[in-house]
Amino acid sequence: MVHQTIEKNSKRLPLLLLCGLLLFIIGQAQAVADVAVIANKSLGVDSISAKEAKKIWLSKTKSMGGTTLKLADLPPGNGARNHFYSKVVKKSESKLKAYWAKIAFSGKGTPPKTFAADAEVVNWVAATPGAVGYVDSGATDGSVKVLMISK
Amino acid sequence: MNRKLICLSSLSLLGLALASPGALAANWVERTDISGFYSARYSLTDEKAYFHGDRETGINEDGSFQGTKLGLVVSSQVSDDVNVAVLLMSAADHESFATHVDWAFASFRLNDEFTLRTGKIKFPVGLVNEYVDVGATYPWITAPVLLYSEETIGPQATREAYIGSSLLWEGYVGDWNLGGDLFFGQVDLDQMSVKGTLGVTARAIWDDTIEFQASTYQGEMNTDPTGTLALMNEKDHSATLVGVKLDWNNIVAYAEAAQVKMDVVMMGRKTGDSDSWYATLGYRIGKLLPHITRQEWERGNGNNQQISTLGAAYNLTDTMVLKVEQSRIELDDFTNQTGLFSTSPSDGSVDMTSIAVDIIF
Repeated sequence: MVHQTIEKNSKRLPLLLLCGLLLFIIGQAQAVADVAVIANKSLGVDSISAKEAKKIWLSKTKSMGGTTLKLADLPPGNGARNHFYSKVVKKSESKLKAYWAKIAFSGKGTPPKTFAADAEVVNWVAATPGAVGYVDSGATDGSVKVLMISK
Repeated sequence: MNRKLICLSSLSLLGLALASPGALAANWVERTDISGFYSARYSLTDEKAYFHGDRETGINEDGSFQGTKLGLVVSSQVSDDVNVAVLLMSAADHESFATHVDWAFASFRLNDEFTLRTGKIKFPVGLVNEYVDVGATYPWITAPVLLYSEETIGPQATREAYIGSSLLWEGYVGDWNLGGDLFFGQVDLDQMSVKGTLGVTARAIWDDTIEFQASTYQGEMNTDPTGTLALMNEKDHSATLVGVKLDWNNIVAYAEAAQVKMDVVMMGRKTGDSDSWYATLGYRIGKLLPHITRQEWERGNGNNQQISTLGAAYNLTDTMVLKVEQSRIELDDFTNQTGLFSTSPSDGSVDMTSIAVDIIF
């Protein structure tokens, strides 16, 4: 009986390993996907550094090229958001919440506007002068300009 | 007077909103942001005398929910450069869970570096005073009371808010984010007002890791000339504070010192003058932040008090924190002095246990 169970499990092992490998590859693909920082085409700036992007999303830089910036965000748990805040802004989700709480509850600013998906960010940025956002690099199109790619 | 000033400020804000093109357009909702916080707190001491408040608001052996509160911020971007914001707060500090306007002001961005604000503005003195009611933004259950308490018998270094104007400056030198706040206005307290308060706060932050802050302000106290605080009437009140905050890798540390001067002499002693300081050291272990704090307050009349606290904050989620603290409150001359107790305690050493949940949403 025990022997049969071991044999049955050993047959399933390659399948389990394959599933695990696929999940790992998918997970890695999401973690390393490039993120594009995009802007409305009217913005008088064509590229920014990661340091400048950090200052923008922490509301330290409020305008660029003479235009007041309007920021777009993606929701917590989104792959592009995880990439952007860990690699560009370099803040954990809990530190980010505390950071914005200090600003919002002292009346010195409001956090970026949150959109549900990449396509919504692209549409809003394309239609709003001064708007900037970040999305999975595959989600960009000709309606916006790409300021930076984070790999 | 306070209500009149708030009404005038509100009318000014409304006027600004109406004067701005498109202010009442259909996209008003898109330009408005609402966020909030909630704190549930319970504290208990082993002493009959009330600590940090009176019979209605203080903490004693019967336990207290003092500090339980709900706050809502409504912020509206009237135009690219004009913002109007208000914080409505309900606190269990009194018998009724009354709601009040904690602050309400309009901000005018003059350029990338300067912003002018006018209305009822949070007092920008003390590292955490501008968001002192939002527990989720710091490791303690309550910001160190021997420096942050605004009670009449307290250190009076910080204030809740002032009605007036402020000129904010923010700039960069390398990786240093520098800021300044020049403010002028009137502070209204329970039994007095401090008129003509003029002050300045300067801060320097490096990469959101270490922050230095220094503040100084001065104003003239106005009390009922026939009341119990008559000695303070038309006397100067000034304070100077310095502070540093560190959030580096897993280490979290705060240290602040305040020196308060009041031009009040009783029996040859400057009884209103006081020095207070605190230092906190914590170490993050995953979601847990254990920390220790020492606070001291020395007054010109010998009313000296110390508090030692061992605490822990645990992030239940990214927006919800559970906190527990055990404190020992000591009073040098407990038979003659009260410190932050409502009356002299029966012992010079009182233990306090506190638990809290802080949420931001």
